[in-house]
Amino acid sequence: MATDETREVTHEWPSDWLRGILTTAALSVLDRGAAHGYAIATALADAGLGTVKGGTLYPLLGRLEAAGHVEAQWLPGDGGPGRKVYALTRAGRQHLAEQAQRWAAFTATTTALLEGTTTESHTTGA
Amino acid sequence: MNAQKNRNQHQRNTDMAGLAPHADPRWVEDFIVELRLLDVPGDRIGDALATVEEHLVDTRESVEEAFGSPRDYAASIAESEPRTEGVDAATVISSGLGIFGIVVAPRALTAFLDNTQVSVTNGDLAALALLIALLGGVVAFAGPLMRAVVERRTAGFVLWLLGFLGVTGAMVAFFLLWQAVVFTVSPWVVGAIALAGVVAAAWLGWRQSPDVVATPDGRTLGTRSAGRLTSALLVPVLTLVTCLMAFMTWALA
Repeated sequence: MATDETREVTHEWPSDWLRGILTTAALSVLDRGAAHGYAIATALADAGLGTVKGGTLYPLLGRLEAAGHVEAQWLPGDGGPGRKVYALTRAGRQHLAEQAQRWAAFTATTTALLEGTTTESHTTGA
Repeated sequence: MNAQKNRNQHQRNTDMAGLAPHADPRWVEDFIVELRLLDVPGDRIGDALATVEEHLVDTRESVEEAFGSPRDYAASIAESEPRTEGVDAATVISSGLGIFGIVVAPRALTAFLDNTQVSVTNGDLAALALLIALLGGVVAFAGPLMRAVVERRTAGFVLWLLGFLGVTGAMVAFFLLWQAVVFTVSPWVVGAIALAGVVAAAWLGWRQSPDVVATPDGRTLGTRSAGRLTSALLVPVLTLVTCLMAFMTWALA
């Protein structure tokens, strides 16, 4: 059975945890500047979230594009299909700020619960 | 955006493997079929394939490894994509008029050659009602029917074959059993109606812009002009064939 330490080293977070934060994490990567899909996946891996497969990443980026949080543009490449570059929109930046704030409140709540220091009051972070 | 438009002006026809050369061609084919079944427009399919190709070039992974099964990936992509109408009204009307013209034109020709009126029987009217019901059924169940044929190819083929034989058998039975003449019409009138149907079908076929798979850098699966030409010429050519067969039958009789 893998310990927490080995999990951190291998970056194999439970997939349902990742599902909860991956969208906000991708927005956070794009907040640093426009990037193509592979660069976003690399940045997420470098940040310690592990390998994000194309089959997970691009549908997520598609949903963000449909929601108006990112905009995508194809830039010409050398002989190949080129690169699809994603950039955060104003609405996306605002959404990221809200989500980051709520996530912080959520992790504070769960950490307090796990450490046994939780209080009666519940915060939604909204 | 302008760069995109300029590149789209230089469209190059390619095969399925050419749309994403680093992916397994069978995966590409299944992915396109799945997205088509989900009514995702051709340019969005091309965009998704170009993204797959870009990612595979970067990661050197196999397409299954990076994207999983084509069916699951297509379903997750389609969630946020716009959908086409599927079988639209113009296609149904065009098909209906086309089939009507193909069937009726030889009747008008034979009656004209025999210098008689075209006799419309009970069987003719029943066959027409069956044809309209069939077209309605195809429109209502187009999605499930196509999925059944694609997913269970042998069973789907047998189903279509039985359906085709059943309909043909029913039509022959109508013509043989219900021969009472309801009314007669001049072959000129029938010919004019058939011609109008054929011309309308050809025009609707030409007017529709085929929804070909097109990547952002201008590679297309088939060409729009070839697709338009085929859909415009199909009904007139088939009408000519049925008329020619009717003429030969008449000449040999």
